[in-house]
Amino acid sequence: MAYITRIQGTGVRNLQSLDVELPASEQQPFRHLLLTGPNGSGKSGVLEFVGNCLAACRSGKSSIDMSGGETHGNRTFMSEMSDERSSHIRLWFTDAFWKAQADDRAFVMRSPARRGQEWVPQPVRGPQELDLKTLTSGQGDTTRFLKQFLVNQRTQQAFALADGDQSTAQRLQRWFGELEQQLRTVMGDPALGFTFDRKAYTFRFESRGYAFDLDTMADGHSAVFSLLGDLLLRVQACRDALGDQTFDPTGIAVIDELETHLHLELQEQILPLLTSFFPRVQFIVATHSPAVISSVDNAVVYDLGRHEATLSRDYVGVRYGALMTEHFGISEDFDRRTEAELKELRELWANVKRSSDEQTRMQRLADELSRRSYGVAREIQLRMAMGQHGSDAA
Amino acid sequence: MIDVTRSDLAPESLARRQSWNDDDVLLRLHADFHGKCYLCESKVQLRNLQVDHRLPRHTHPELSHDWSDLCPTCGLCNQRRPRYAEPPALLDPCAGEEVRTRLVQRLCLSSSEHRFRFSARDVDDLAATATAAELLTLHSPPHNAAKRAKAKELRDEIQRAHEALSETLMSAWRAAQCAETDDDVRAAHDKLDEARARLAPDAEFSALLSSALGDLVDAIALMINQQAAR
Ligand SMILES: [Zn+2]
Repeated sequence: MAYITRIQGTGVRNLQSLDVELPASEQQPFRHLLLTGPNGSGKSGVLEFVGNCLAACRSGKSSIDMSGGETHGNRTFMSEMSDERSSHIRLWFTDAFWKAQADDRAFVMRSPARRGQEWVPQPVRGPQELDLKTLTSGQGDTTRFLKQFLVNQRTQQAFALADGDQSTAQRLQRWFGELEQQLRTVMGDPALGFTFDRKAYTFRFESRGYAFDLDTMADGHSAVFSLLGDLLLRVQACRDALGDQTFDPTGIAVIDELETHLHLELQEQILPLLTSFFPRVQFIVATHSPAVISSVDNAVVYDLGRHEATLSRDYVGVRYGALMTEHFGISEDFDRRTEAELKELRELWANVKRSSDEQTRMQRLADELSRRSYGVAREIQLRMAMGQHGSDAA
Repeated sequence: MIDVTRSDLAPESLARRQSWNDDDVLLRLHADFHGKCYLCESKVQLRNLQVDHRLPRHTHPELSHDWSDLCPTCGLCNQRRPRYAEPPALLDPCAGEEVRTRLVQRLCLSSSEHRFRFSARDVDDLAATATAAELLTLHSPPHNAAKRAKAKELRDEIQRAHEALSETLMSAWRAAQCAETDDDVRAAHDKLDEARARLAPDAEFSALLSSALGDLVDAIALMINQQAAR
């Protein structure tokens, strides 16, 4: 098991410094990381560097502190990496991750922000062996092999059934069952059917009277599917290499802009979905979405703009409006003009010695704003109607 | 902060002096305080109710299991109550109308920065001053981002309640203005009763809203009566 427990960086892109801890505990072998921050604050840069460092660890290229060290009394392992522009990053792990280069019990997955668009329909003509270990070792998008992989799994199930290999057949049936459950959540249809067309060698979704297949999914669905697929393939690669089809590998998934192409409901669901389907995978994610940061309770939310770490648990159940203004710093309560008008109205009300022009202006603002339902405007309008003259609420 | 009447007899479990948040205590606090946090007046579900020692345990250990010292709070207020080495005594929400008579709680119309104003009626009243300071802290944005989001949510909810009440008052006023028949007067009274229900002890933020808009309720009531007399 190797998970990241701390990320420290200096000079990564335009980010001066970064230090975020992801404390592990007995009950919680790892924590996910959700990076937020305005555009240009360096989210993608950090993820890229983390991904490169992980890749270097796996290939044995990274300089590594083999001695380990201690933080908070726990033995940790550290790896670091620099580039020619004096960017520097250090990762601390719960375990000796670098030994994993030949270790098939763990994997690393990286997904850049553009995703789902690379969904290229691939004709599949029947079961065909995939060398998953090689396919998943590079950085390239693996989703184009997903359909082949699903077809392979499905034919395996059929063969197992024909051979009387009950346990394999049942295992694969369960696997497809779970996948179907996840897809039902993704598509928002509890009655969704996910069926194999054995003549055309493809899979079809049947939902609310419509049928469509893997190649004709909406952008949002294919974005989820490519993440799901990428992880599934990596898990399978480990299983194949170990020759153990029931093994659950650990992993670290680095995903940029998790919410790309997802509508709000899917933004809420994506992380719970991935973490429940892959409970042994640590997710290192960049996001702009309040729906994402309030969707799981086992993550550290780190804002690169403010350099502030929070536990995602504290955000669960908080309204998006409040998250938008307070975490992401976007004022969506009132638009700027309304904000200015409300301020002007309050100031006019506070100023008891108004000119007649100001009085007219105040009346107009109060009428206009209270029609748009702002409590303050309504109260002032009412007080004026009752013959009150102003100043603080008396 | 609200004022309420606390039931006289202490919940039985307190006599054992082992715990101050057994079910009987929670149930009684929830009922006596109208299901509200005594500090911010948010409605709190029974299962989320937290027990706060008004006079803190570390300075008043003898009051740990004292019924009169226990008050219900929401999670956020409990987390955010400032911790002082020498905590000042706050007003007692159960001492008659102490809160209403000694504390001013307002939503200000004039200040654009802080719309909440809490102050003591008498500057020499230490307990009221301390209470005002604490309430102001609880309604202001904290440093921590997650707590800031929750505190924002509290302010938004108060704002919405203020909006809804002024809306109701507005329609009561309109109804009163053009009231001619007995039916019209009755309709105006109904609207006003609706406003009063929003200021009832068990309504969310009613103490705060009463001190902000309570005068308008009385003024409109007077108006309706004058109209009816004509
Ligand atoms: Zn509260």
